[in-house]
Amino acid sequence: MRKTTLFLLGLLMVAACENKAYDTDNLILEGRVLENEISVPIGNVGPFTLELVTKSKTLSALLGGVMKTEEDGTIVNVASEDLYKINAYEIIARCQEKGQDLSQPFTYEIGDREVTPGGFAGLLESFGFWAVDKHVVITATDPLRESYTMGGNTHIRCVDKSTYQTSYEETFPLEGIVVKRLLGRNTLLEMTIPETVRNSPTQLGIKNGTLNLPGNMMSQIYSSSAADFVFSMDYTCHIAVGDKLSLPLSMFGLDKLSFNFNLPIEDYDFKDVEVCLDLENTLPFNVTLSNIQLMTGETPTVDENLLISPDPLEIKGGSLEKPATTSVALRIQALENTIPDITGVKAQLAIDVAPDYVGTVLSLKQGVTVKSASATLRGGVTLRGK
Amino acid sequence: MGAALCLNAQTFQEGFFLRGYNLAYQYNPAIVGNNNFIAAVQLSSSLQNNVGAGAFLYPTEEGLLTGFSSSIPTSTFLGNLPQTLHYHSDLNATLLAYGFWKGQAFHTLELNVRAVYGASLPKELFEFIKLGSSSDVTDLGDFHVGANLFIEMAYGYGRKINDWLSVGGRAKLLLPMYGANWDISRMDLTADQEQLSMKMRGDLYVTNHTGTMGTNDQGYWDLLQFDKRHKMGFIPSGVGLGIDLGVLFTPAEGLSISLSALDLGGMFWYYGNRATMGGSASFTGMNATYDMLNGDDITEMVKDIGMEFLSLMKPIGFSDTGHNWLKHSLHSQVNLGIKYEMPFYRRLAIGATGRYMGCDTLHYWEGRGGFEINPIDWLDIVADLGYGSRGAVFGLAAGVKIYRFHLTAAWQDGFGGTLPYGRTPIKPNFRNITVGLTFNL
Repeated sequence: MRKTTLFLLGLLMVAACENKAYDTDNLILEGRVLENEISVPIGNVGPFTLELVTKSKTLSALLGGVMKTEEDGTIVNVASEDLYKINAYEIIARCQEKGQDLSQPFTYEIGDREVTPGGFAGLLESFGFWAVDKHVVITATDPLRESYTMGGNTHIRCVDKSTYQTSYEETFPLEGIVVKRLLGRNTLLEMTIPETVRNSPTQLGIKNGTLNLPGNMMSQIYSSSAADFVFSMDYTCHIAVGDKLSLPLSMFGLDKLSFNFNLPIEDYDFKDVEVCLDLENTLPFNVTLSNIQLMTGETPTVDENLLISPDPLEIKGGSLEKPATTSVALRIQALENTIPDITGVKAQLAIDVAPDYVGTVLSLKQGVTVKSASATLRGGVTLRGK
Repeated sequence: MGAALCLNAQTFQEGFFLRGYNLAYQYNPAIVGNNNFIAAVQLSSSLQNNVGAGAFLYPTEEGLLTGFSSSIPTSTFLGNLPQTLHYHSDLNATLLAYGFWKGQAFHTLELNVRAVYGASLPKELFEFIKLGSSSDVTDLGDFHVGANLFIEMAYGYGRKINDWLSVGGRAKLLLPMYGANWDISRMDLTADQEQLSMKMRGDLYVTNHTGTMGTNDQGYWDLLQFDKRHKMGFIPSGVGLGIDLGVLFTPAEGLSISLSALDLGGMFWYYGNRATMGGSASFTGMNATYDMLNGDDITEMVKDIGMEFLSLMKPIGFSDTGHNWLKHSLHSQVNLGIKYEMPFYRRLAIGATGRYMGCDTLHYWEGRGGFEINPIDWLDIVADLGYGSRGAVFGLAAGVKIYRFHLTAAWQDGFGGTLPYGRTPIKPNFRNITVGLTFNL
């Protein structure tokens, strides 16, 4: 009886006892799910256009004021500055010093007044871009009640930056041009430099200029507070892809600090992700990204734990009218652990022109769009319990 | 009509061995009592699960890991899961039982209230979570959750035909009262480079005893519009019938052979509130601009996509009441028992029992061998050990007679232990605990 009782009690203990090994206070909520390959669609992302340039604080500071856009996004290089400014009273004082008789009409020499128009066009021409649709305007103001005439010439000279040879030079006589008192300015010259010339002017302005002024000019000054003779130039051009375009290898970068770029994938604990996508490019040049590195961290720094392929990545050039599509299978792998938030990407960038697109004008609307993207996860997703 | 929970028969095998157990007819209606009796109360609780917590939790030196942990081999985790995971619980309260002899027959009357609740899940659900999609379309349907309460009124008849044969039968009128069932019959998932899509079909049934579910302008169920005025009170929500049949052979002195079939039949429930859920949702890709790649917008977009898929679960009121009936199957059972009282000591008996229960995809079998001892007139003890489709099992029962009162307690269980703080079985299990008190008239 006693043995039977003990046996039954033992049975009870084995069956009914709580198994402390299963104490859920020690539960570790870490798991790997979707271990086999699983694919999901992503869709379309972008476009990533040249307009991103305007979002860069550094580049905005450099280009602000000299880069404008048309309504359709076409980039316009704008340069406006004064060639020469002189006050009427100063002219009178100088002539009086020379003993000139100012009671009669007289001539005042302003000489050569030329500038090199500002802007980024000249810099881009160094890399093989062309300046196209080059428009020049030279103007003058009249602070007097009466009009006056000018002598001398307006002068334009363009230099090929690759050979340092003059590619264009012209002078236009100012004889007979009457400068009147207007609310705006008097146009001394307005013309479009021929398209066969691919360069912006290096010299633009007035040569051997003279002013034929009326007698008793002092009494002709309309307002003593606005008595300046101002000679100005305005130069605009569009930028197009040249046939010898070849930028040197330089760095391409997008990061959280400069461009607010951030891919928040850390929470999903991926280890191996392949993204298949069609890159639609409307930029008129082929782009090659090599030595691609991914950056992580609040202050984006290169993460050696992450590998990205293919490297190099080549994207064919296209246009807004005829985009070019390149199919890419982009793969990101974490050598150890999982892929954290990607806060930046940088690579060496090489650009050369697609032959079909030589002469295509640059527009801020041009860029790259990710089309029909899908992601394939391999190796599963690690979930960490909280 | 959809299928719903299986309802357990409320018997414990040890009842066949317990001497003077007035409710032994529940095991075999051919077992007739010696006394007229009345039962004050009998409470019974059953739990059947074909997968235990041990299939999901793995104690290691690092700590308690889940089956999804990268440290647990996938084949081990998935190999521990049955094709359909079942977890069913059955509570029975016998409010009144009366047994009496009239003529040559023993008659019984019984009034029970029973509650059944549980869930079943397809293994494919866990395979998909662990492995992802292994084919173009993954079927995650066959999901059930439910809780139901019904009344059982039973009449039993048992009769000795001759010295070695008794027969018996019971007819049980089943009256469904309150219930709620959620079935997902179809959930097809497609995940490939072109799309992430889900097609789902589900049904939600709720009896309308407490009221009628309201709907909003789009037809979705709206708990804020629950109308309590249309209460059904104590009118049953359907009807059912169960039959027990039994034969008892006593070919020699001290030898009893029992054969019975229990709970043959079913119930038809009427759910006054019925809703469907489902449809299809798909994601073929987003249209994200550069400005949206700042984290928050992408997260919000992912949330919106998730909500679109979750919206498939929103119940839409179903107005065609002709389709509000649901059939519940009873968990039919076949029992075989053999008992032999030792000729040298009639207070000791040995025996064996076998049982098979089947209902939809939930099947259970077991065999036990045990003994019964009646050391003193007022105490009876039964113990058995066996093996079944859930593994090794054991049972203990005791009957105590005090004056005309007969107290019964029984415990059937499996081995493997339970989780701390909750008694969830670690292994697949069949557990039954019964406590009752009768009075001999």
